[in-house]
Amino acid sequence: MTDAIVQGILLGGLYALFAAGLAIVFGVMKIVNLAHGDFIILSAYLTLVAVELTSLNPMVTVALIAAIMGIFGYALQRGILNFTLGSGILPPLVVTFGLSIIIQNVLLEVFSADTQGLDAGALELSSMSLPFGIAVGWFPFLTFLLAIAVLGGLQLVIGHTKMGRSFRAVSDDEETASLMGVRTRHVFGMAMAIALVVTAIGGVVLGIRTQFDPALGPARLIYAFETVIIGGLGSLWGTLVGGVVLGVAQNVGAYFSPGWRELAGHLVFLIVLAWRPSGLFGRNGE
Amino acid sequence: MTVQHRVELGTSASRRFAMVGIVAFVFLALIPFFADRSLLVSLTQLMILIALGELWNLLAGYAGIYSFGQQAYVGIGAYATFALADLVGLNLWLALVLSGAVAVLIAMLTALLIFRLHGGYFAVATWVVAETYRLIVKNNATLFPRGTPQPLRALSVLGANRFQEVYWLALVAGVGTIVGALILLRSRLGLALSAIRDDEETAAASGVDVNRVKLTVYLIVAAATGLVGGVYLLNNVSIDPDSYFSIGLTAQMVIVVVVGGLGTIEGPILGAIVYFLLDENLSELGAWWFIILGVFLIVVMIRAPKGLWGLIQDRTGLRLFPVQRRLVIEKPSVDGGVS
Repeated sequence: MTDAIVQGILLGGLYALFAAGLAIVFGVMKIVNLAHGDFIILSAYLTLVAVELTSLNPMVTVALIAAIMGIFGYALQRGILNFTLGSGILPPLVVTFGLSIIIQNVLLEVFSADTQGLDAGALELSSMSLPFGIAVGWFPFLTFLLAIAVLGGLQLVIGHTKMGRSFRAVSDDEETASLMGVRTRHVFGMAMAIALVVTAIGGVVLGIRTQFDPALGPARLIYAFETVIIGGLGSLWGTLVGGVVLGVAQNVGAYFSPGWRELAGHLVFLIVLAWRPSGLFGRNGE
Repeated sequence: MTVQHRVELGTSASRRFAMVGIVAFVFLALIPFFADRSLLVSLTQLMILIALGELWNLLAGYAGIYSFGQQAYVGIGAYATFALADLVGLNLWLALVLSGAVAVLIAMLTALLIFRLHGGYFAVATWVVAETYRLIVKNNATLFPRGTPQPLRALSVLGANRFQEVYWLALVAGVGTIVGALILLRSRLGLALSAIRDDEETAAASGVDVNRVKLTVYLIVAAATGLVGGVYLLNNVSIDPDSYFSIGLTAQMVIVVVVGGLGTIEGPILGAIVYFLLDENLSELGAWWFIILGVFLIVVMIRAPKGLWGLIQDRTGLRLFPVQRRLVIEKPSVDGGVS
């Protein structure tokens, strides 16, 4: 049980990496990207290709995959998603839902439904021993540190750069920001680019941790979403707390019965929704 | 001299179409007497698609409720029918009718939670709730014993003419949702819905209790989707949580409504027919068929947000169902003027 909780806390780091991108896109564009989970899986497959072409360790290719996904995100926002803005909530939902269907099936067509994995060598298997007989894998531990580093980096970008200032301005009031000379269409592109850079990091980590197949995207979207809502809307560090709560809930559920892993996560999410709809660290109810 | 005016719902096209509709209904009702079994199963599927599309359209096209978790009510309706008929031993038809009541009860519980979120996050929350119901069923040894699909044994009461009876039932579901939507939209609630569709804030400012209207529509649609779920089970014979709580069901609703035309009664009918014909011809392409579908959905949403029916309507002004209120000004004829 203690072991399940410790592993769950570390799993929270991965969920924070999943959630940060979803939260940025919602914060800046007010879009919920229903293809978000498929971008995570797409990143894992891109890593697979990169590793096969270069025979590098997947962790080394992370910068490359993040750059590719960032450029892809910018192009996607400018080329498609910007055209869905301004006429209600439904168009971006439907278009990202369509993207989700396309990505899943392209992956299915190219890579088949077989499960794949990424091999990070010794790092993946080695672990350190803690008191009370708990063994913590180095890789989950480093993932957690990576999540903290990424969230810290995002906070620096959003809080202390010109681009971050544009994000906040557009998020607060798009029209006024636009009147003050903010190029909103470009800012949206940059927000999606940064979101997908973070998402790509999450995708590579997922690919090393577990086996994956083209159909896993929607469930990752749901984990990311639960993480955001549990942590609280509009709170970047809240995603880490949300991720930890979700990770612990899932692992404790799985400790009692393997079939309860996801269910326990959903139930904790619903309890938070009933008890504190604005999340544990949310500013106010949305 | 006073200018007289009145509010009219019908158009000359809609009055003529009412006759066409009745003839079409009679024709559709007679189909089982000359169609073979595979055609009947397909047409049953089409009727279910029309019904599900019309219901999702009431949510997304009129009430501004963007639910990506409507598969929950298909699954709940189907499982309620299965449980009440096969496990409790009720008469199949009674079980089917009660499945609508079960769906509405669970919808009330669901609404308490998900109506706390708005917009895009509401959409994902509905999906999470549907997933929760799927996993509850999946982990339940009575509903899903040994993790294998269960046949609906109560179906044996229908005998050899099963496919005909299920087709008629689906026809009633398809036509019933169309007529039901028509009645709903012409009612006082429908007027509030049209106001919400056009502008939620203005509707609220004009005295429409937006939350109450939304909740009412959500519950009505949940009940009806549950009933359609029961019919879906009767057509498919066997039941398992992964297919009856599949997001793919909501994907079909979204495609039918968006491609056909959001916020019109005609749209989902057209969308269902288009989807059905494409599916019959392209589904053998496998993954490519879904890729084409995804691209089609995106292109329609961006280039023609009112869907195929919207394109037709813009060109012809055609309105087949009398739901839109129009102001008709009549010039007084006392001075003999020709108007």
